[in-house]
Amino acid sequence: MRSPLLRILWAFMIALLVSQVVYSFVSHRLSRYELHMHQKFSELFSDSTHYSILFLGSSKTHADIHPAIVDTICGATSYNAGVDGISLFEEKLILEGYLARHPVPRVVVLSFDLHSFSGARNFFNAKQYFPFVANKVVDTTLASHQALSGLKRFVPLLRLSDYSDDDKTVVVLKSLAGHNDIPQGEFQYKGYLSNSDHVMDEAPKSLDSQKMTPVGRALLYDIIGICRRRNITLILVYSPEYQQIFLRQAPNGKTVMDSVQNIAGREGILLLRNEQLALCNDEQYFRNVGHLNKRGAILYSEILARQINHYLQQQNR
Amino acid sequence: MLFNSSEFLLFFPVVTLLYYLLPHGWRWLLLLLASCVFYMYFVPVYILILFFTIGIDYAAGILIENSKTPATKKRFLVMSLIANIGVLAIFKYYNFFLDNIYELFAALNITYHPLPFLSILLPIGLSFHTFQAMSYTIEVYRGHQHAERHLGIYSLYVMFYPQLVAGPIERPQNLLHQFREHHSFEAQQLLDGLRLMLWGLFKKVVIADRLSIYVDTVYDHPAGYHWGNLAIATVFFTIQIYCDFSGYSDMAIGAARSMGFKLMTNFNRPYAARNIQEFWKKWHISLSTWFKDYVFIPLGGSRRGLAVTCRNTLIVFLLSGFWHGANWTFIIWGALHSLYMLAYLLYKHYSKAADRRSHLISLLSTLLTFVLVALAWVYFRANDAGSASLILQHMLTGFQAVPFQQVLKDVSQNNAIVFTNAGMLVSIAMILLMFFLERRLPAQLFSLNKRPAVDLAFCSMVLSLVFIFGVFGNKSFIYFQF
Repeated sequence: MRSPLLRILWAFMIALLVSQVVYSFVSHRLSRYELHMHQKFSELFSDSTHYSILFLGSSKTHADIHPAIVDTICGATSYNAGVDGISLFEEKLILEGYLARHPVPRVVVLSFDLHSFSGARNFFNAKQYFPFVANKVVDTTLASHQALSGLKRFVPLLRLSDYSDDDKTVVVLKSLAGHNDIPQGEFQYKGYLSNSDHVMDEAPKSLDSQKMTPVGRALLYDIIGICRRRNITLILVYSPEYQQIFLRQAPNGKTVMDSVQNIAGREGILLLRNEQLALCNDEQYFRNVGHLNKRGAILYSEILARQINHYLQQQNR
Repeated sequence: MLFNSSEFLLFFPVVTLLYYLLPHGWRWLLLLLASCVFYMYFVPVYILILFFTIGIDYAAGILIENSKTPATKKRFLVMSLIANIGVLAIFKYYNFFLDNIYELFAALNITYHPLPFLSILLPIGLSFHTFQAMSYTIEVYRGHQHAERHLGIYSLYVMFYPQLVAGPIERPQNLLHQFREHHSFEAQQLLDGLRLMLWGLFKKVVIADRLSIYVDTVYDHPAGYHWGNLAIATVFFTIQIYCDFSGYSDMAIGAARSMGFKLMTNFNRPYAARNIQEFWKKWHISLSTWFKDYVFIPLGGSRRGLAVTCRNTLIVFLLSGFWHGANWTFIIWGALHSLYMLAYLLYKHYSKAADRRSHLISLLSTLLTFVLVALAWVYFRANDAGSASLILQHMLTGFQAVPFQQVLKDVSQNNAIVFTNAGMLVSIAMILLMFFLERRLPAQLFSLNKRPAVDLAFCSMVLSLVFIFGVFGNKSFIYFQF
């Protein structure tokens, strides 16, 4: 090791090896810890099971819609593809990534939030898609939006910079201790993760101004187009929120909702305004102002399933 | 171009490789062109400012050397200094002066016809290359340096890319002759350079950029945080600015070293200083010695009694504060350091037992120096003097209002967690590792060559930590703004 050039080379090789081992270890432990999301993404992007109803959306979908109830009422097989924090950009990616592997569903239920149309084309949590780059749609979307591009695409250890300090330390330790992200007493079923029996006690937060941007509008039309081309029935849903708090309080919230209503009307798409349901006035059904608790999710899943069933029966006639 | 950017990852090996491949006679041209590309990555048009000062100082150097009488020499020196300070005055201080004059007029109820403010970005590294250019004409005037007749070599002296935008501020006696020397490829030299660059990169992307997340969050909204958060942010900034700036210096010295150039040391474990005077011998050495050589000593230095020494110290630190930026926060920062220094000078003057210290006293002195320096950094980092005062007030008087457990909670902004306790633990571990290694390993790490196994372990460990814990957001260096 006396030759300096050899020493540079060795140091580089050792560092690459160590970092690659650390990356593999961290990503493996993370997929063990983030069990629910990892399993959901596996089912969406790797499996090929047929589902007749696919629910797309953010955390409001994720925690609000129980597929078992929908399956019973609609006589269908449904899947809850809701992912925390995402907007239309990622919902479109999930739909396309899903269609690349699965048979075409009969119905897609797109549950939107007011922030869905902001036009943001960035990932809420890009690293959760990394293990699924075998799915072409996931791979190309990550690459074209700089989430997994350049050297990072070919040298996996460089992806370590996308993992937080928490991921690299606390999460790894928790995973080694056998813990995962499914809270004790909760369960998951076909993409649904129960949201505890907790009853809301938090005060409403101040809300950001909302916008229907041209990009947001275009993304919605993209989803409409995908469904049309594949002969999928698209249903738009605005999920329950306690006393319509976001819609009433977010500046421009009503304008965004009017825009969606106009698009739905023009395109002949069913829009379900479920923030107007009676359950929205009873805090016993809410975990917090924007999300239902376990009890609320069961009740709402039943209502939504009946709405879908009714609409499909009408269409069949 | 930033040293921690992907562009530099390509730029550096290409330039270094070409440097060794080209015949000696062409190397200056390669380095000059590379330096132009490096600088023009920021705001291309500002290279014209550099060309202007280069032209003036190049001509001034020759004119000073050719002058027959001291008076003529002085005239050309003054002309050069006015041109350099003029550039600084226009691009850096014009808006600041105008703003303060208007405020003064308004306070005195004087009516005036306002002049327009300049809406320009501050040219990057302006204070650094201007000071380096000034040191050239001063040294030629003093007869310590021959005027450089080769315009290309002189331009390179001002524009040499490793130290162009944030120093070290070189002296012509140390740097100019190196551009004429033939540097043949030596693997050892390359390793020395790369090792130092790696160490600088570690300090920048693993420590400074990680700490900046906490510091920026808290310092940008100080009213929303507890005394504890403010105190942690202040200590973190104290470490951040050291890692950011000394990291840059290490990378600059290392990049130059890879091509065979030796730049001056800029930092020497400043936070191990036992008093404020020692601190300034270890912090930003190239600027401290610049002020010492060109301001402090010409004013009479410390040989004309305590009163003159105190006056000169005050002037130097106020100028140093003002050098950093056109903002009252920097001037207050300089004033605080001058007060510290005056207090220390008085203590040293009247105390007989200054040099006989136990380990405990030394440790306490180091701690006290660190605290004083950290408190002064509050003004350096705060967005304005009002925020700095608020931070100091909350930090020094608010600790009873909030239980300590609250302080250790994750730091959030707009309901989103931006810095977790895991981030805190990683930061502390990396800071301790850095201080430990800097204490145990030789300065600039060059003599690690003699211990190949330690060298290999050091390089692989540091590079692994950069890969594993690096924060890669192409975050700029703090001192680029000066």
